[in-house]
Order: sequence, then structure tokens, then C-alpha cells
Amino acid sequence: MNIKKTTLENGLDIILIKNRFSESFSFQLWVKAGSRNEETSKTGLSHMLEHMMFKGSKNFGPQKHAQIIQANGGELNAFTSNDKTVFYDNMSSDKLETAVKLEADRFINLSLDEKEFLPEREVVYEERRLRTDNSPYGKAIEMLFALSFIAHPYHWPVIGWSSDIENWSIEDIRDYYKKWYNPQNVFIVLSGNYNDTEAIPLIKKYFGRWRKQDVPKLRISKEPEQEGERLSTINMDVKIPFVFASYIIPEYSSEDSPVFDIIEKILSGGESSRIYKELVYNERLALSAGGGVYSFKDYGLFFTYGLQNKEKNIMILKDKLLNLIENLKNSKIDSIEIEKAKNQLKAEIVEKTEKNFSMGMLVGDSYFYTGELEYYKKLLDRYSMIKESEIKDVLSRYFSRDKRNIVMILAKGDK
Amino acid sequence: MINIMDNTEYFEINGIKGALINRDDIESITVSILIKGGNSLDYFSKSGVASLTSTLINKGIKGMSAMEIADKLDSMGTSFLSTTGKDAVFINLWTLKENFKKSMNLLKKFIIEPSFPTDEIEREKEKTLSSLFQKLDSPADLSSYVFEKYIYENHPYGNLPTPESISNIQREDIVSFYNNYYRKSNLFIVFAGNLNLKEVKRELTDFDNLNNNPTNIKNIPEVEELKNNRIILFNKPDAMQSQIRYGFTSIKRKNENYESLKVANYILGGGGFSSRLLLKVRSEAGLTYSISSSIKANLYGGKFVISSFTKHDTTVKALELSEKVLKDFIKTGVTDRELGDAISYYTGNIPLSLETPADIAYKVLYSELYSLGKNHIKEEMEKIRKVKPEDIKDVSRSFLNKDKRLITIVGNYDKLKKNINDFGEPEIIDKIF
Repeated sequence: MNIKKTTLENGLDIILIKNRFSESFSFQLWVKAGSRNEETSKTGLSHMLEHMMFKGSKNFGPQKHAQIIQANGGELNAFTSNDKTVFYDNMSSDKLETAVKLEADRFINLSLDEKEFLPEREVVYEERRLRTDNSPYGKAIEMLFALSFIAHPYHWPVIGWSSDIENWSIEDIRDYYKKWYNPQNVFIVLSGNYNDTEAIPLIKKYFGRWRKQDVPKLRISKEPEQEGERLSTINMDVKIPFVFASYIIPEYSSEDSPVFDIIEKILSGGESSRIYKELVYNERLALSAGGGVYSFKDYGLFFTYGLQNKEKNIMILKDKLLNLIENLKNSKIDSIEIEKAKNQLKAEIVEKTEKNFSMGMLVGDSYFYTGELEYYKKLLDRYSMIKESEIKDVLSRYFSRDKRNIVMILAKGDK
Repeated sequence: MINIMDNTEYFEINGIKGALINRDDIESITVSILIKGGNSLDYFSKSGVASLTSTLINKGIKGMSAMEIADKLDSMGTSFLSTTGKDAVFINLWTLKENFKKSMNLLKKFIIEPSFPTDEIEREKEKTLSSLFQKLDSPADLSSYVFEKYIYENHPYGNLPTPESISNIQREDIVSFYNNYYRKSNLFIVFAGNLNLKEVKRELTDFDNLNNNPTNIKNIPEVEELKNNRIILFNKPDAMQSQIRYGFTSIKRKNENYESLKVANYILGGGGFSSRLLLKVRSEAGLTYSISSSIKANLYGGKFVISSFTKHDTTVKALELSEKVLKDFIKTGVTDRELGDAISYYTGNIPLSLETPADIAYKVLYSELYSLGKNHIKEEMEKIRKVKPEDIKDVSRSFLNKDKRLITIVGNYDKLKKNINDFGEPEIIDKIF
């Protein structure tokens, strides 16, 4: 696969990933702003603006963008995370101009009409109820971030606190759009098959007139050193109690970051991983258990979880889950176990390269977080060099007990 | 589209039917297997046998324990998944080409000689039981479960596992299901990736040891129309919003009107931002984050369902508005523009819906399950292209205009009781099993 980058005069970067075997493409716009760019009392604005991007621009009325893409056989959506907001249109190869034209219109001339904003704010509130307020898992994840990060903006949820949602104004959204949606703070990824001679001129034709603008400097609080374990318990009407535990880890581009991917696989990569084997299979304490890595621009979060099996004890499950991490620090890690983790990570990357959308995401993340287009390839080399001694070293530096955060969702009345 | 399907070669080797999708530009191989016969073959008292059988085929084979198998698969980064639907079991293996032979050797053993160890059965039963209780913690899952149970009522499609049915299942039930349906004559296998027919042939010779007898899949009656108007309200006092399902029983997949109904549903509620339900209930009224309608057509019938959620005090409003959109749709039909957009969505979406070999493999299995023929994708597109506004009107009147409908809501009854009676008297439940 051929990957290259070009930059328009207004500072807009364009990354082209060519897959000549494909009959379609994924056209992605990456805004280098997410909930990290927000401030207290105005949390959730990034995500709300993502919604407003579907509510009309100068030449296309509300929902028109989506309707036109779909009427051309395409699929589209967007997502907001802590660091970024990404919009995408996946279409057959002959439809590139449709996607480029529509995206340029909303990126350069978004309507931001109050009449559209007010019902959409209710829609987002309903989304929050669905994902967080009405979901024990959503509630636990929200609490896990709030507990793990106390100063940095990763503290607040991407969707925003309820009271902030109620108070957003259309002016807040307009300010945010003006501030962060500009050619130097956005980049384009085009992944798949397209006409080589047409792609860049087309993007230039529609995005070339986007006025260059300086990107504001963002001042972000650093996370203070954590000096003790933090624990939060929430009592809810749940039949299956569960536990999450997390540790702050370094940012995506850090030299240590790939080591956590290996650790995550050793602990929870498949049914033969340490957590699954011990808690789900041998002890039968958990219905499911595992872990994951959130890798962000300023920090990351490593987490593990366990959902209690019916009639078993959540406290025992919690202790055993935490012990598995302690054991990893103190016991021998077999080279076969490390090799297995590396093979799983390789397979995951290969799988992502087989679809235009996920390939675009892979390269987009590489570029966004490290400035390198093919960082994902370097990552494979980096994984191959990781040995037990490095894993132990990383574990001892980041996974101490006083840097641990625990969230427990318990049944009502349980302590 | 033509190019994509041109690379698909059907075969019958050693008594096994299947297809090879050749793609030499990718590093992975997908193997997908269809086994006809799903949850609807379970007895009510033992609902869950079909699912447990497919879950257990990789939990022990001759000479290898479940954990040894898991270790081997994980070591290669190979993924294995089996899912059981109402009419069939789908098995999927994804592996890097370099690990194909080793992964395939395991897959063959899962199909040919699963050992179904007693302790693994107990372990999976326990997990299934906990998963059932976990549904009670998720209003969305719970709402779908309640709807599924009441829409099919006594039909075998309503065979949903319960704690009681799971505890009734014995090893012999699983072995018997395996012996009856995991047979050569009942398998359809698709290979997708950088492989040739010779390599496929080599892999299939090992299936000599698989039961070669014909398969008798018991007859299931067709799904009947609902007999009553019902609102079932599952009272969940801690709920923060209502999870709503609204619908009725619907056609089977082999119905000649399927394509017209599919297009109608796209315009009504299946087409996301292009659908009327989303436009009216979400975009204009701001009542929900998501609303969609779907047609699920199986071998013996199916269901039409509108799914949504909203806060308690707008539940009745959302229901009324959804029903109004449905009635208007039936009454007024669709515009030429709406129909044109829906048709061009389906025809233009082919390169995306068949992007990966796994996508194509699934389509091939789907065609096989519902006896749609080898040219199904092409023929379906032809039929969709020919749909006319009057066809939409006809199918809407026949299949979306029902006197009797089922509504299920999971929410806080105290917060709903003030208004819900305006819509009909609900049956309040707080247990589902």
C-alpha cells in the first residue's frame, strides 16, 4: 500500500493511502480537537459540534449531507474522543467529488442555526442518558476517568456533564467552531481506491479556499503525582456487580507506550490470557474479565475489569483481579507468553489494513499522535524488540498500588 | 460488484458443498461455515441447546483441552467465533495466511471430533446463566429480549434461554444436537483469501470422518399474526429513560415481496438520516438520539420492529409520533425522490458491503441458508431497481398496516403511569424469567 502526504497552501494536510484492489474509499477529516480542548462548565462542546455538523451548511440544509451520501450508496458518520473529532464518508470509488464537496461546505461554512441547535441539544442529552445515566458500564467508565484524572481535561466525559449540556448556548458552539475548525488544525485522510490524477486537484478545488488561521495555544493542566489509591463504589440496581481498576500510563507517542500493549495482551488477550484463565476459567469468579488500553495525546489509561459470575463474591473477584497485576510484576513472564502477545498485535494490525476505513484510522492515528505516517509499521518493529526485562521495568514504574484507581458497581445495599 | 463476485467459485468436494473466494491481495484467510438448524430447533424446556453446542465445539477435542486450544489459537492471533441464530449456526475463523494450516487443523477437529467435556458444559451453562441476569442490567438488551419473547410467544422463534431451561440441559442434549446437525450434508463452507481450489480440496479430505447421513431438520410452523394489541411494560424503578420496541410479526425471507418491503423499510426507518422516523422523531422533535425500524425475515417468518428510547415524560409523545409517521407512510406512500434515493443507496452500496472477503463469505452463506441461489446478490439488485412507488404502497398496506401490534417498554412505571394509559393499558411485569 502506497502512503503519501501533501499540504495545501492554507496548511491543510492531505494523506493519501492507495489500495488499487479496492472499489471504494474512505474519506476522513480529522479535527485535532476533542474534549481535551474544552474547559470546565463547557464540557461536551466538541461532541455537540460534531452533531451540529449534520445540521446544515451554506449550500446544503439540515441532514442533506447525510442524505446525499446515502443516496449515492455511501455510509457516513463521525465520532468524538478526548483528543480528536473524526468525520468520514465511505463510498464507491467514482463518488469522490460528492464526498469532498459536501465535507468542504460544512467545514468552511457551517450554518450553526439556533433553531436546529435546541432540539439537537435534547438529542445529545438523550444520548447521555442512554450511554451513561441508564448504563452501569457507562457510569463506571465515566467515574473511572474522573477518578484517575483529577486535573487534566481527561477528567470529564466526552459527552459532557449533564448540567453543562443543559447550559450550552449556540454561541458556545460557534466560538468552538471558529477556534478549532481551521485548515491547520484539521487533516484529511483518503484511504482506498481513487483516481490518482483527480484526487488532489479535487480536494484543492473545494478546500483550497478555506482561509488559513492560526491555531490557538492550548493551556492544559498537568496531572499531579498520584499519592495513594483512589476508590469509588456506586450502588445500583444491578444483578451482576463489577469492578474496574486503572493506572495512568504515558502518552501514545511515548517509548513506553507499546509495552502496555504487550502487557494488555498478556493479561487479557484471548481465553488463554492470565485474567481470563484465572478468573473466568479456573476460579469461575467472573462472567467475563479482561482489560484494555486507552492511548491519548497527553496520557493513557490502562484498565482491567471483572464482571462477577452469579452467586460469586465481588470482593474476592476484585482482590484476585488486582493480585494478577501484582503477580505479573513479581513472577516470571514466559517468553512464549510475550511471543503470543506480539503475534496477536500483529494480527490485529494486519486485519485493520484490510479495510479502507480501518486502514485510514490506523494511519490517521499514527499521524495525529506521532507526526509519522507509518508509525504503525514502526510499532510492529518496536513490539518485536520488547523483552521481559523491559516489561518488568515498565510495570514497576507505573503499576504501583498507590497509583491505582478502582471503581466498583455494587448491588443496592451491598458494601 | 461483478468483479467481486467473479472471484467466487462454488464447489462440491468430498460430499461437502461450499465456495472459494479468491483474493490474493490480502494476508489473511477467512473460513466461514454454515450449519443449518438453530435455536428454533430447541425444545422450550431446554432452550439454549443449539447455542451451547456451537459454543462448546472448541472447548475440547480429542487429545486437547479447552485451555490448550485457546492457547494455540491465541498464540497465532487466530480468531474463532460461533454464533447461533434462529435458523442456523455460523462459524467463523480468521487467520493470517502463515498460520492457515495450523488454524484449519483445529477448525476441522472442532467440527469433526468435539469432545464436549462435562466440566466445560457446566462452565458454559454457568456463564450463560450469568449473561441472562446481565441482560437485566442493560435496559436496551432487556427491552429487545422482552420484545422477542412476546412477539413470537409460542412459536419456536420465541425459544429464548431462561435460567430454568439452561439448568435442564444435559450433556446428552448437546451431543444429540451435534450428532443430528453437524453432518456433511448439512454444512456449507466458504474459504476466502489467497487460496486455490487444490488447497481447499486438500483441507476437505479430512472431513471423511464426519457423519455422512442425510440431515432431517424438523419442520417448524410459519409465524402467525399477532392476536392481540398489547403493551408490556417491564418496570425498572432505577431506569433513567424508556427503552421502546413497537412492532408486529412479518414475512419470511423467501417472500416475493421481500425486496419491496426492504426498500419501504429503508424509507420509513431503516435508512438512518434518510428515513422519515429519524427525521421526525429525532431531528425535528428532538425526542431521541436514535430511532430505526427493521425487518427481520427468517425461514418461517419474521418481525417488523421500531426501536427507540426517550426520557420517561416524552415516552407517549414518541410513541404517538412514531405511530403517526408509520400511518402516514402507509397512507401516502413514498415520493419518487425518496424511492430513487433508496434504490441508489442499495445499488451503490455494494462495493462497501462486500469490501472484505469475510463480508462476501457471509453473503454467500446467507444465500445458501435461505436458498436464494448463487446469483442472489445480482438478482436482488435487479429486483430492487424495479421497485415502483405502487409496490411500496402495496407492501406497506399488506405488511405494515396491522390491527394488532406489540409494544414493549422497559422503564420506571411510576414515571410512566400518568400518561401511558392514553396509549393503551399496559401489562406491568417485573420479571422475565
